[in-house]
Amino acid sequence: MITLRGIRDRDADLLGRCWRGDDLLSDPDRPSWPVDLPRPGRRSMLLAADGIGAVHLADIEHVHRRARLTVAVLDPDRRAPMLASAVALAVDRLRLRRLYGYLPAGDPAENILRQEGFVAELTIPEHGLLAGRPVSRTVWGWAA
Amino acid sequence: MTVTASAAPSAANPSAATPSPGEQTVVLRPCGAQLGREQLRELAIRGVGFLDCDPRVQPIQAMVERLADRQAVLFVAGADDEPASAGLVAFAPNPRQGSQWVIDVLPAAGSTDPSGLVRAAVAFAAEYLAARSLLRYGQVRDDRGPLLRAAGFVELGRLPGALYEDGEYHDQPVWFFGNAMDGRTDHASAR
Repeated sequence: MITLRGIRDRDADLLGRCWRGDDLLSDPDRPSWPVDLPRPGRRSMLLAADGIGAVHLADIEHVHRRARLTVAVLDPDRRAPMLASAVALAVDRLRLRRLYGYLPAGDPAENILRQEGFVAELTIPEHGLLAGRPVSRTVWGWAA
Repeated sequence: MTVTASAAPSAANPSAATPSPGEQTVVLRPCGAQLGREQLRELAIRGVGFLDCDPRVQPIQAMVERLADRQAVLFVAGADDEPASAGLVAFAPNPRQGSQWVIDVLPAAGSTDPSGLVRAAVAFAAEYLAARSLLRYGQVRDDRGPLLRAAGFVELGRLPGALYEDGEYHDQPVWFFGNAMDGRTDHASAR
């Protein structure tokens, strides 16, 4: 299991190199374009794993016990273990029961999500932009 | 009173709708801080969810902050002489796709014909927000599904167990309005 901890100032470089937007699983090989880097806030947590990547839990709803998840890593082979660690932290430490996130429809990373117990719930047309064109994104959910 | 959105523009305001006899145009007006709080207070009295706000567990300030987090804009909708007579409308941008907005509508208590409210909101989004598609997420204590369906929204599906309400987890419906956005601008009216 990968150890996650709260983000620190010294993680800025790591975050800048791994972050590719708010997809559930970032593809580190995807060309980078200007995106807003996430920040911890009233309803979000930002965590890092040294030399590996970052996890963002956003839109945390304590009543509904859910959060939107983004996992960003430097090495694509670390996506599955990082995702598993993020899920474990959300359940064991935050007592969340539902995690969800968005991924472009048909993204190759769907296999990793299925392996980790995520389910495709619905697809929203025109929900994201890819190469300047609106693309559908699928909502993937995980429930405890 | 019957309120509806009309298609014909007037000379005074090219985007404003001219009502047919017996009908009144639904006009959207942005809420300032005070009016916004009054509307959220009304929401609390009715106890219904609205754009991720749940007045049963969130005080007014928490709802204000939540709307601000989402960069939501809040409007009252109604006739010229009764600005909030039709209801409440909110739009929040999809940060990943500028032409898609998240919408919520809440007909005024006692409103007998809320369809004009939805039509006016959709038209406003097309004309003033350059929206090409709209999303709406179901809320707690929500009975607006038939209203949305009648206005042309389609239910994309349900997010399993996403809402906790009355001691149980419920599926959250997601509504979409897209292909018919073009040509909707002739209904819009704003002040």
